[in-house]
Amino acid sequence: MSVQQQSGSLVCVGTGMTLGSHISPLSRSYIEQADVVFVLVADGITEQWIEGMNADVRSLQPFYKEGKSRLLSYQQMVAAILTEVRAGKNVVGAFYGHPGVFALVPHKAISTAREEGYQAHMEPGISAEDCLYADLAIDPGSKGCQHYEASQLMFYHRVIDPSAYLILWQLGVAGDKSLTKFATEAAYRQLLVDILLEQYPPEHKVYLYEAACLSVQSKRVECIVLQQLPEAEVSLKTTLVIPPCRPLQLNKEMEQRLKQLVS
Amino acid sequence: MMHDIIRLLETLGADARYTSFDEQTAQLEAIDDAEVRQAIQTESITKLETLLGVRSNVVCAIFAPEEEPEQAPEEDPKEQPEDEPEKESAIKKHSAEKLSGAA
Repeated sequence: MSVQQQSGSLVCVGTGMTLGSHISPLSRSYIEQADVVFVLVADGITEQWIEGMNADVRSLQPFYKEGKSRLLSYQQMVAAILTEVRAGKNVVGAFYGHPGVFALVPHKAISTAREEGYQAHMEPGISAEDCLYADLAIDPGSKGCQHYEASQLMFYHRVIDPSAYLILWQLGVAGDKSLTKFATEAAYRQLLVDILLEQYPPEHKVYLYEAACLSVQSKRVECIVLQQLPEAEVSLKTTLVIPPCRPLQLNKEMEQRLKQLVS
Repeated sequence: MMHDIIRLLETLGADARYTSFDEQTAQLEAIDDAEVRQAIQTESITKLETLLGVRSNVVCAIFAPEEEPEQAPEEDPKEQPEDEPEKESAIKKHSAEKLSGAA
């Protein structure tokens, strides 16, 4: 069966992290001109701000419920979005930060819409990662930067290069395989620390980071040592930043091979 | 009042003139409601959300860590979202007139 262009479209945009500061002119224009907007942002004030941009803005928050698998919530969110696309509407999904960074719902909604023959694409946004580089004065190019979802690092064997930055996301729910919790306890973070202690010393300085959602709000950049992580105050918004604990190691064999190319 | 506060917060976020603490403080003095003003100045965001009547305890996790997530358990048909998006939309359409009036 050939895929034909159908009426109805989907654009997923990012609203950035800080209200008023980060939304791109194009993303705002998409929100304002949409037939219906689905919104999922990191705080209620920003959600209300988005609701002021269009007459039909629908929050995706009601699909979350503690004790309910977030996977089910995500499936329901995608279904709600696609229902409106299939009804022939120009739909916008407005997500905080960048809609494609640590965000399953926008990617799934766009891929499903495309499979069904609808126009669908994503507009980038300023993500928490981008804010992190600015707020912590980190250039990911200097030493390299690894990004993992905290639980994924616990569920799978991943390779960590301790001479590069390591950023762990969704720290607040680290270790929750059920996806039903909005917070995990210190015991979960201790297991995460046990993995990290294979590469880093217990006294290694790490940072708990939260971008500011409002311009009148301070960002959180809290320095602790790694072994303090289990008892630290952590929320869904908290990201763990682990600087390198050893210098870059020269690859002398490759150095020789490169020299031969120019000799 | 809520829309005025949010509009102010947007201005403070978007205008380079108001990125310093002193400039922000000067702008916040224009807020009549002392409780709201104090909540902003003390960064009591939870209190500010309550005063503005917006959603609190927002969930912002949109990612599942497993490569091939297991099929999600079916929801109990008796359990429905507290405020379904369609219902919320109807409420918001009703308030759209207020928005256009406030613009």
